[in-house]
Amino acid sequence: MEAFGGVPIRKVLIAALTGLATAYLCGGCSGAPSALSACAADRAAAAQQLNAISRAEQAAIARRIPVYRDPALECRIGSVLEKLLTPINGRPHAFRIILLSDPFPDAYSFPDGGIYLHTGLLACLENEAELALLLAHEVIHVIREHALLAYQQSAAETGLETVSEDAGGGLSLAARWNAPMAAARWMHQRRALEEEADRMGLDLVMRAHYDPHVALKIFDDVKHDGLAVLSAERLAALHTFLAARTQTVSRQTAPPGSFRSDLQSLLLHQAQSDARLGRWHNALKLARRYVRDFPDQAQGHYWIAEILRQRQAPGDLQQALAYYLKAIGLNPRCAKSHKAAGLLHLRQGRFDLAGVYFRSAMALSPDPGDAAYLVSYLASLPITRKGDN
Amino acid sequence: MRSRIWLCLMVAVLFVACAHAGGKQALSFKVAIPEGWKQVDTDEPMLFITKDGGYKQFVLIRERPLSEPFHFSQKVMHAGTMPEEAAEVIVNELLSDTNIRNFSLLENVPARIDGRRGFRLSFIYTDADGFLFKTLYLGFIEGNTFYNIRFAATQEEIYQKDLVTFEKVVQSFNLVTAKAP
Repeated sequence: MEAFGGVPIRKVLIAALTGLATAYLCGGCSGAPSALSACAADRAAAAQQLNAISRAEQAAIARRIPVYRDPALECRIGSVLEKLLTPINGRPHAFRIILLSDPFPDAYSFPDGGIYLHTGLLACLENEAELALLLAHEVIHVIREHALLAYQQSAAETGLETVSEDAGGGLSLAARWNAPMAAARWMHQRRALEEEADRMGLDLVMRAHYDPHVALKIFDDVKHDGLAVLSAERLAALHTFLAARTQTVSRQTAPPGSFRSDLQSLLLHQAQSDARLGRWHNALKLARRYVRDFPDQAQGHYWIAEILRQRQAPGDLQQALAYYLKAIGLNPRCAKSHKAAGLLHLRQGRFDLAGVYFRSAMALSPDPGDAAYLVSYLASLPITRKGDN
Repeated sequence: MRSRIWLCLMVAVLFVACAHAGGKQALSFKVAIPEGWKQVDTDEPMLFITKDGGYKQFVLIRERPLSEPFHFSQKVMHAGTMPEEAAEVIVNELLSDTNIRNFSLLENVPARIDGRRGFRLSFIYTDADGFLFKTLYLGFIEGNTFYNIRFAATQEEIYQKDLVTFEKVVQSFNLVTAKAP
């Protein structure tokens, strides 16, 4: 994912959201009243610049990544966010959720309250408590103004002057990120901010009456290419933090089943996206999870078959045929399953069976494109030619 | 706009340079270039022709080895890949292309190209500069090579006007050398 002259947008976002300038800010703010007012003015100017950058970056995201629309899921996420925000006094930020159709498991937020969730991350979630922790983490980033802290810190580190209030602002922020910085110090500061979001986010989750132990399973569920997205050390720190809490832990407010229903469309959307990119393992995992949660839905079986057919590893086509037949068993009126089963028979030289499925697909009023291919397949079958003669 | 002028200049320079270099791999197909259309030379194994410029309309004919994975989806075709499966690979690639937005598939049907079984796709999309393209894309596999013939235009009236010309180009298309398997 690239933006702004080849600078990875993810880096820019990370730069906007992470890094700690506590020492810088505290040091600068302590002292005489005149120094305090100067500091406030600096802060206001930095906030203004950051807002301009934030707007430009969100516009860039809107141009590059398609929004994922799913009213039921959006409603669920909105209600979870509302539960998290209820205990917070006063609402300086107008939070809004944007779902992006991106297979990379990621989430990030902007200072104006925009929280972006990738479908690749949502598809990993198993329950509402995990979603709550994910949102709470981003809410803390916004409320605690982590982006502003990071921005001021990077300005202090690089000595760069103000940025203009246009799309070019992103480049300046990227320049800040790319400027030389003491790596160890940067990592330490970034980690401190993330840990604050972890701890305070978990607090929010508990105050909204979600089970934090269930929520923490997100770190088992969300893995990218088999790798954990959170270090074992950070996860252990969270468990320690949780163990030290005396607050009684409440149960989840929604049964897992209803949350899973809200993810129904997203799971297949994501499985298809992964399959398009040749990420077979993830695609199959999601399609199989769909079948686990909705075993009577033909499309889950159909999509497992489709992924196996496209992957074509040894034994895949045989397995794919079994899934197509299962899909036909659950929904005999799906023309695409009949056509696909026919194609697999055709590929394996079983022309008579291929003909049976092609003809049944034709009888099911396929769309014009499928119908045209079916006619060509039927015309190519040896048995059909014999019949014609 | 300035970047586009530079692009045109670079293409012109490339055209002149290639005209004298003579080191380009010979194409394994022939087509009749319509009157009034200009060929833009490239180092790639492709033919690129346009009448009014690439941002008005173009015809691009390309041959690519089956072993070469597609850039975004990393998928490959095989000698036994059926036309519908090949079309699926192309659609996947277009959907995964980060420079393409608002992709919409209008048609996906079987087709015959130079007597060979292939497919025909019709789709629209917006490119990174915001130009809306309507495209007709024909493809087929011969030996270990995937051939594709595409026609794209940025305005519907240009598309409709030059579609007949494109069909004549397709009719004139023929393979002159069979690629070694």
